[in-house]
Parts: sequence; C-alpha cells; structure tokens
Amino acid sequence: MMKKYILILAMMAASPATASCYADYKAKQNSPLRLHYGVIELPDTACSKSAAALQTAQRIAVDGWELLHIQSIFQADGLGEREKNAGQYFLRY
Amino acid sequence: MPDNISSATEPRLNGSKVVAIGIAAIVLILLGAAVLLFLNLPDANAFNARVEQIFVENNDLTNGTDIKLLEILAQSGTSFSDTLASYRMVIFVLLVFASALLVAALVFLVTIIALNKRMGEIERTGIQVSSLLISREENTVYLNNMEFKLTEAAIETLSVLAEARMDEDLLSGCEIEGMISGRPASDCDEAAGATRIKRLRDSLGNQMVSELLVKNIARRGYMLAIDKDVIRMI
Repeated sequence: MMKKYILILAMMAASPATASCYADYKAKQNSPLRLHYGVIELPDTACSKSAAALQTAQRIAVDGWELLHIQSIFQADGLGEREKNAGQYFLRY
Repeated sequence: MPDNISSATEPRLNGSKVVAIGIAAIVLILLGAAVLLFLNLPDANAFNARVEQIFVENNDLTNGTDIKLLEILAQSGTSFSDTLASYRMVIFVLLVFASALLVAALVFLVTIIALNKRMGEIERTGIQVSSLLISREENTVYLNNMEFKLTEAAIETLSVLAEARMDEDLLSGCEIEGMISGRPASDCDEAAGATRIKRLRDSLGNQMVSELLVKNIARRGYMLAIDKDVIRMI
C-alpha cells in the first residue's frame, strides 16, 4: 500500500520529465532593466505558441519576470544547443 | 443714452486692459512652452523600451554576454535621462526668468507710452519755469537758462517778488513800492507799485516772447520760432 503511494508520488514528481515539448523565451524586469533568455519545459497541452506564452508568463512571474516573447517551441533534441546560452535560466522555471 | 458718450477716461481703461491681456498672453505662451517641454523630453523608459525592442527583434541575441551588454546600454541611457531631467529644470528656470522679463518689458513699455502722453500735455500747457536766477550786478535774470536783460528798477521789483515768494508772502502794490523806495508802505501809492509790475511784465514778457516765439535773426529779419507742422489756420 505504502509502496504504491510512493510510486504515484514519484510519478507525479517526475511528470515534467515526460514533457513533450520545450520553449525558449525572452523576459525582462523593470527598473533597472534586466533581461534574460531562458528555456522552459512545457506539458503537451501547452505546445502551441499562445498556450506556451500563457503558461511561461505565469511561471516566471514568481520572480517578477515579465515575458517578452516565446522565440520557438522545440523537442528534446534542441536542448543541447540552447543550454549554454540560457545559462542559469536553463529549465529553471 | 450713455453708450454714445465717449469720455477721456476710456483710453486709460483700455491701457490697463491691454496690460492685463498682454501679461496674460505672455504667461499663457510661456506656460504652454513649459508644458510642451515637459511632455516632449524623453523619460527614462524611452531608452529601456528601445533596448527591449532590440532584444526582442533579434533572435540571435541569446548569448549571456550580449544580454549583459544590452542591460548596460539601458542603464547608461537611464543615467543620461537623469541628466536630461536636470537640463529640463534649468530650462524651466530660464523660462520663468524670460516670462518675468517679458512682463517687466511690457509694463515699462506701457509706462513709457503714458509718460509720453504726459510730456505732450506738459508741453501744451506752455512755459514751465524750472530755474530762476537773478544777477543784480549784471541786471540779468536767467529763466530756464534763457538770459533776459532788465532795467535796474525791473530787477529790483523782480528781486522783491522773489524774496516774498521764498517767504510764501503776497505783496500789495504799496508794499512793493515801499520796499524798493525804502519808505514805509503806508506812505506809498498803490499805483506806483502797479506801475513797477507793469514795467517788469512789459520788459520781461517782450523779451520772453522774442526768445520763445518771435525771433529776430540779426541782419536777416524775423521768424516764428516754432515747428511749421504745428501751425493750423481756422
């Protein structure tokens, strides 16, 4: 019984890992102006640009970031080339 | 119907109205200029918005260093906009000075016009004596620096009158005759004093008119000493 719970919890915690798509985006903070480029993983319900924008904006807002735009939506094979540029904002939110 | 009556007070009223309207116009124009100035100067966000636009429009600008550079660019723009704000203050102060000077200039202009009108009136009232200098030794009197030669008796009369004027006194004919001849005033004839006054008037008036109005130019003839534009015949 306990083991089953743990398994479910583990599956829930791991669910972002089963994301079907990723997006790279640009965001800003005001006064003083700060900018960042980041990569975020999205559930497959949010793989369109508009849905991705909505969800990304909500998730980065916790640190006061304002989404400027979603640059592209890509699959897991596109992560490697973007990791260096995104730096600390690679899959952070 | 009082509406049809125009009186001399109207121009003066119009004058003060003109001043009020002029001052209001100056203040309005400069206020408008100040408002335009404050609205049109870019604020700090103009630079930030521009940097943001560059960031969004260029898909290649994803490198961390590039982004850092963009942030520095925006910060330098912001500090420049602080400088602009101080310039704006300076310009505003200068505008206030300018409006004060314009208002003062307008007031002075109106004052000068009013003074000119007064001057014209004073000129029309005729001769205004601003200085009277009596020289007994030369039997000469200087009126406004115009020199008039008088007889000894006429100078005596004028001196007596001048002394009485300085004491704010009025003299009767008897008193004038008495003071000049040295006898007590009760013994003197009123007519003798009147004669002295008449001779003084004749002598001085004749010379004054010849100086101010009917001039004699030596060996050439006589002419009126006035501007020919002021002559009118009715």
